[in-house]
Amino acid sequence: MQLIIIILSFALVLTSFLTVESRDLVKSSRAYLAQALLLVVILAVYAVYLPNHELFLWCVMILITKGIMVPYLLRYYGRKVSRQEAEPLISFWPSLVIALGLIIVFFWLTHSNYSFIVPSDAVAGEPYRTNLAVAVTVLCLGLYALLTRRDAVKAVIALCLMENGVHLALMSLAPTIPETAMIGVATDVVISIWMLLYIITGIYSKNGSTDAWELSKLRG
Amino acid sequence: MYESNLLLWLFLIPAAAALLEAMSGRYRAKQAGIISIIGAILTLLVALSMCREVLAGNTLTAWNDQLYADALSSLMALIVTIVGLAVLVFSYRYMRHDVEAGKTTTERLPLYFALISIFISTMAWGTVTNNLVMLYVIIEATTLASALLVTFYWKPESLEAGYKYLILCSVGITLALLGTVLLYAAAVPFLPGDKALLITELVKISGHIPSNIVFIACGLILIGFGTKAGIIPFHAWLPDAHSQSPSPVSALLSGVTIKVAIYAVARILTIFYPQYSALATFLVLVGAVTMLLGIILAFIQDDLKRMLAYSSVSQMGYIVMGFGIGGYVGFYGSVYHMLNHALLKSLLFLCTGALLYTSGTTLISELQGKKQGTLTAICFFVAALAVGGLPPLNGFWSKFTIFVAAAQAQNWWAVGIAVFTSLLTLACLVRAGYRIFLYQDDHHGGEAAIALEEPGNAGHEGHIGIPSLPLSMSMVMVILVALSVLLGAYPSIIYPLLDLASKSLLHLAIGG
Repeated sequence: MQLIIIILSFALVLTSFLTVESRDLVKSSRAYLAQALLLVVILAVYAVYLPNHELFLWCVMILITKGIMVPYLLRYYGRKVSRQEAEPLISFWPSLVIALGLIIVFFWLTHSNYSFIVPSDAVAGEPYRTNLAVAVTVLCLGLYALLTRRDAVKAVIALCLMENGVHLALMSLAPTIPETAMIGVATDVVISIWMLLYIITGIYSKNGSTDAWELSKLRG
Repeated sequence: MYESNLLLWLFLIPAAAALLEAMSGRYRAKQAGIISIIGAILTLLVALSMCREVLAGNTLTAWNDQLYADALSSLMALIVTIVGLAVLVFSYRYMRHDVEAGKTTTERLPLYFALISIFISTMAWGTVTNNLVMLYVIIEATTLASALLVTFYWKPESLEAGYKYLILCSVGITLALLGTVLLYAAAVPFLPGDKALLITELVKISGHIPSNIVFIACGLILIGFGTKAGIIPFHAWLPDAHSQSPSPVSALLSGVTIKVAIYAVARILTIFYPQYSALATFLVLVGAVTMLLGIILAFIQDDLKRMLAYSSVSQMGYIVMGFGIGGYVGFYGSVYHMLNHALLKSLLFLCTGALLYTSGTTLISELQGKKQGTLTAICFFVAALAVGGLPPLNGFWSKFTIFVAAAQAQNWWAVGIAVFTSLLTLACLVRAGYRIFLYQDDHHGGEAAIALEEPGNAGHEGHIGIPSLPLSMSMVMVILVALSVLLGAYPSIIYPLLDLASKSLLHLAIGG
């Protein structure tokens, strides 16, 4: 079972990598959808393996919000803007190398220093260790994309990645979190993504571009 | 401690008002705002009842301790509801003037007032929540409720401001969620069931949480909620959002929203003060940097709203410093400054709204030499002098308390920076006021720029050539300035509540 979790975790990192590095926003959104579905599968495996049947509720929640609603919003609003991502700050190959480097460094750092960040003995061993290392790696890849991509839609996808990383950590470290908090977190995510995309389509209709750097009317 | 439905009414009333406003808007758009104002009045009464209860020595709870109100929560609720009501009343005529000016349409007014009510509801909820993760949910909800207000005019600049606001605050708050989850996971072994999420329970076991987790979690929470509070270097969204929003929304953002975020930081971080004094020292440093850089950036602005926004960043530095210094005096200074700054900065932004109403611009270079109303000038100068810390105004007393707290802690460098920043603030705001209201332009034949205005004649040219402010807008400004002067002249009026609020934080900080 642990092997399955580790394989799924690495697949999760791979989808993050594809989401960040794909310059076609539709393909990037599809990679994100794949990641969301992987999250659901990982949770289901956890729910059986631990066993913790409360995690099945998380599965349903993640499937509805990240697997259906957010991809739908990305697809719906994505049609209203340019499909090709605005030219990023770092060109393709250097970005690929940096992203790979970040994956290796952050996974290794978190995995090898797990005892430093483990909040309690209850989550001290595997599979939590690999899970948290993957969560931190996904979070950092999202942050990297957010800092280096000029395209506003890509920035939203990067934010989604960061949220996936944090939610993976949340599900791993706090699986017994009450439903009300869980629903609140999921609702916030969907509404924030919807609002961002709504505003970005407004920007696109005014400026004809989703390049965040071209906005910059407000300075000082 | 007893169960009270007041805590539910505090955020359910404005939420219901928002719903009614939105539902009835389709049929009676011209009357938009009345339901929201009634809702805000009722919410203010609820906040006052809460204050009465806590002054009687009670602590209120609801929903199995998920909601909790001590004196600090009640004070925050009072701030939210006073400024919220002022903003709604001011907006009633202000937004109709925007309709006449072609900035928006009558059909959109119900949406505006519904969003303001939702915004007030989320902030009010934030003041009484006792749940770590729900605190994250609510702080993010305040961002979501206000994002469409920032972009309300749907201009390229306001869309840019709204985009920056949403993305930066969402990124920050995502990190805060990780921090809260770490704290929760660390508390679970010591607290049964859902109790590990309750801030009041976390206090009791704060000493058991590993130091690594405390530092990582508090760092993430400071970044997350600090972004929303406008702490430097996470402040980038704030000047844009404040300058592009309708002026009453700027008043709400600057007067209340950033205070609710810093309240969340204080509620969580002070829990760990007894074990980790380094946290407090770090907050003093962050406060000092924020206050100094904020006012330096304010100095170079030509847009009055951006200047006031940077000034708010700077004033947040004082509040953070006070929380960092800690102890009764430090907490008292911070809490007092939160109240004073909420009143004063919302007044200043409403004055900017009045200037926009009469002159159509907020650029100081364009306002310079134009005739402005006496009432707006008086309100602006009183608020500017108070924010600058001129005795005996209310801003002086709260800043002075923070200076005293820093001196008692022998943090002399902090005292130096705080006093220097206060002088810079005074110079910055008085200079702006002089250029707007007193500067004599040769093109105007050397006449003083201040002119008498006649309240009550909305949209009509006054007898000396400037449009008069509507009575409702003038009254709001007069009431806010009167409250500020009253708090300066008779600080004892609010002392009992501030005293208890400071002790609430001290209670957390000593592990009670």
